[in-house]
Amino acid sequence: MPRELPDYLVGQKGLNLVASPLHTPDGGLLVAQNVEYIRVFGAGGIGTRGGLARLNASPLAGAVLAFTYVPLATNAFGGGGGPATLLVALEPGASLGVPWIGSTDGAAFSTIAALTEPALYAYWAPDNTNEVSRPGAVSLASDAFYFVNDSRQLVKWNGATQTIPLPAFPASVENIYSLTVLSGLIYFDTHNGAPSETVYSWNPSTGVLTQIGTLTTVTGEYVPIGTNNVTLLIGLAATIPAAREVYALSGGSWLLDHTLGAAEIPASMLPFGGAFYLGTLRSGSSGAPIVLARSGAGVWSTSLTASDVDGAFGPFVEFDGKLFVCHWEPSAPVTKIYVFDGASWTLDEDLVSSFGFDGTEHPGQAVVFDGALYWAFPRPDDFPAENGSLLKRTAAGAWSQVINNRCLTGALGVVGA
Amino acid sequence: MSFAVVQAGTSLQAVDVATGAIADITLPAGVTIDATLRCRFVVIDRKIVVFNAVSENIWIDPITLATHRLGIGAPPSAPTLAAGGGTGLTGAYRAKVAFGQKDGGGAVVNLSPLSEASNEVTLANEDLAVSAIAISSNPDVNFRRLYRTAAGGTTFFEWVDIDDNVTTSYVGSESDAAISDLPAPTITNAPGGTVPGSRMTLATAWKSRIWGVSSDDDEIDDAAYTDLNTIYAWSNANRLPAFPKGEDRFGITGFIPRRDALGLCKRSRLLKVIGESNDDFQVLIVVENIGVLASDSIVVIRDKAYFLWEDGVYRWDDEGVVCISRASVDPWFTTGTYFNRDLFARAVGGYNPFTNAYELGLVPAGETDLLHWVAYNIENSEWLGPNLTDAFTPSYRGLLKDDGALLPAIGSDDGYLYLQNQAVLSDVAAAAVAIHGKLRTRHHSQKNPDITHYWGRLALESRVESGGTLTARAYVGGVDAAAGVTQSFNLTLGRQIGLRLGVGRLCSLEFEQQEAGLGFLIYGYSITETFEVGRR
Repeated sequence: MPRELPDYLVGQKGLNLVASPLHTPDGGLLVAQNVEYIRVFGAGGIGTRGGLARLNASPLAGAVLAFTYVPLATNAFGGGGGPATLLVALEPGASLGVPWIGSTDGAAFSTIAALTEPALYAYWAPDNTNEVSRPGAVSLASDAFYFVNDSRQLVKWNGATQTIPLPAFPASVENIYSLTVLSGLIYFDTHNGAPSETVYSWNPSTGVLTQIGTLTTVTGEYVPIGTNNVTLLIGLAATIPAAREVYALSGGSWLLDHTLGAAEIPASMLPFGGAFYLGTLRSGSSGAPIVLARSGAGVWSTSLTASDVDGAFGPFVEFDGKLFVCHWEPSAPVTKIYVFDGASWTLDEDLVSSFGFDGTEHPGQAVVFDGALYWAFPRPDDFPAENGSLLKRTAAGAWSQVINNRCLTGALGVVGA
Repeated sequence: MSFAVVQAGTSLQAVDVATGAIADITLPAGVTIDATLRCRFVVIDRKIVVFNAVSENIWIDPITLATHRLGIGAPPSAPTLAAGGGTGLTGAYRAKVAFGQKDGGGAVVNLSPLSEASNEVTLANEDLAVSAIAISSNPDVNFRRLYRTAAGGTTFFEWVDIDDNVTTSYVGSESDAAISDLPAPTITNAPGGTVPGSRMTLATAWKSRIWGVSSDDDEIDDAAYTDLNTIYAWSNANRLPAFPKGEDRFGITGFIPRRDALGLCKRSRLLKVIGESNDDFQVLIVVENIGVLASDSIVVIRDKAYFLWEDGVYRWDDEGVVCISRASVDPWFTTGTYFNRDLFARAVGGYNPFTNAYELGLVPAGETDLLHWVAYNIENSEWLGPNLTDAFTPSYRGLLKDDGALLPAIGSDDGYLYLQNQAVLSDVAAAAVAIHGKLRTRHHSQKNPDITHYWGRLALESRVESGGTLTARAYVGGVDAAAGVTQSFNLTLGRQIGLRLGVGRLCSLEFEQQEAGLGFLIYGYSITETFEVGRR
């Protein structure tokens, strides 16, 4: 049984006024056992802490005296028994060959013969209609590699291809867009061509599809999903008029968490270091896009402002303990990689000057493979020309071009890690 | 697939952060773990290096979890040089040899100190024959590296690798211009933990180097470090003293790796290393008469460091060093009422990104285990606690990561890693066990603590729950007032107005709930109809 704690001292910060003290900075507590500040969604207060869940189902060999997180790949848990493979999606046009190639060393690529399902384009890009292009996406779950195919269906790949037979969506024309993984569930959003969005989770173990809350009808088309395992966030971007809103899932409902500035449109998200980072899109010489940070306590602030006007920040990727993001603006052209070390942002590489990018290379997906960062830059406007690039960045900071002049879709994945 | 490496008693094990699956890590033959010490882990250069609790420093290959000794002993004997039967070299030469380990791709992952120099041989258009090349007894050694001078020189340069641990001779005629331009490294083994009996008591990664402190009495004030991006290249030149040396028997008590400075903590002062390399490393004093008592209490959060000293918790950032506990919860740390101050050195800190709080596990007064913990909310500079962990005995705190999300976790004496920030409002051991939530407000005074007040009805604003009641007790009178009016609030209603609280100078409230599966979230409260007695 829980025991009583000893008596406490007389008050933090002395004596105080009487009214409504719990969620004001001057109204702190005397003492509190097993409660915590909960200051999210604009309805903060002090509430009960949850219990602790065991990570390991069976006990370890003894008392846990120390541990460290290792952000590296291991084969120790049966991840296929062989070397990891970097998968790169290609546009399978008439004369352009197979839809996927793979490499176990990040240098030599060969056809993945059994993977014949083409991937949806996966790139972040503003276009001339003030719209964020929809990213097809790939994602990793614990048992397999999942991606969105050209027909916007969810496909599983673990040596063989399986199209996930999802139950019918409320609207028959709904299609799948961006994926994210949270606690073994795959979250994705759908779009049916009309101005509405719905977010679902799919449990690979049970095959259960669950609608996540209900979104108010908004003139929106694109929902980037981000999660830090505690909060699930979405952002709604729109055509015209722009709905510049970010919603957070709370108690099964989507609550408006933040409204962006007048010219800002959410373009991409990723959790990093306990905070969310959101990149925005600006167009029409309306100013420089920014990266916003949402702290663990739900406070939003500007983290980075681009040195160039227009374009979008996205996607984000975490590598080597740092957060990377691409600022892309095609007309200038700008293709710059910024890196955040937890304290400050720096320009990591200017791809226009380093690799001669001319703005037609859209920032696609980025994955970590074999200790390096791989980033796809497809040129979808040039199909069927084969001018996409796959870049590699080492932990030491060296950028190189791994693939050039291939018709990439921007989708990448890693299997067997 | 990310994972955690865990010291579980006298074993090392890996835990899959996504599934909780466990994999054993087999130690090198002859290496043991002392369960009375904590392992110090450093992840760098795609290797996991383990210090302190291990009888000899080791490193772990993350891909296979294979373990290797970090220290490879220097070749016990120098090679022997003679003129060979070929042609090509003229002048006086000498050579050395080192043992090493390469990975499957041919990259050097470990290297021993160099042997003594060979005899000198003078050649006249002859080639150079090396014999008596030492063989290592270390099973990890899979190559030897020969170094030699240029003709007539005294500096040894990398010459050639012999990719086995068998061959004892080599003949070569590579010209002086053809061998490496770089002088041989001045490698020593790690200053602690290379041989049984000494340990590297502290270790951290900063500026792409491993930094450590030896347990040897004459080295406890020295911060030793490796060459850039290596785990093996220690040297006598890579040491910085945390002056003054010999001032106490503790030496360096902690490292604080901030972005631009490495804190060297002692019991009574804080120093810092700045710079990028041996060319410009400097040790400067940050503050004196403040230090670090518990190395495991150190947590760096967004370039601000938090740690425990004798009289409270301190923060070190660009503004300096300040005590963040003195103004509000000073007695927690300066009296023996709350915590066992004799065991402050066992305190373990952690960061909870969801609540944006520095959390510190402490031993309660009269006890020996880390059963209590307090939390400092960084957002609003408020302390909460002391909290009690009753379902298990916490032993360590740290952060894990799953698919990019930070997961604060607590290690326990029962061999489990427990994940924080869970939504289930029941204890972990059994779903039916409630969590005891209790909070006590400060004493309200209406800005006049000497005047007797009438304290009216309590109005409570709370989240609408599916069930449960919240007990509210009023303490009206002086600071020593006993509990008075006690009432229950139905948590399914959201807002309620309760009973009058009473008459007295001060009023404090205590809210409490202990129901399995149920919780509360108080948005705020007010005490209605409050006035000074006689002045209504």
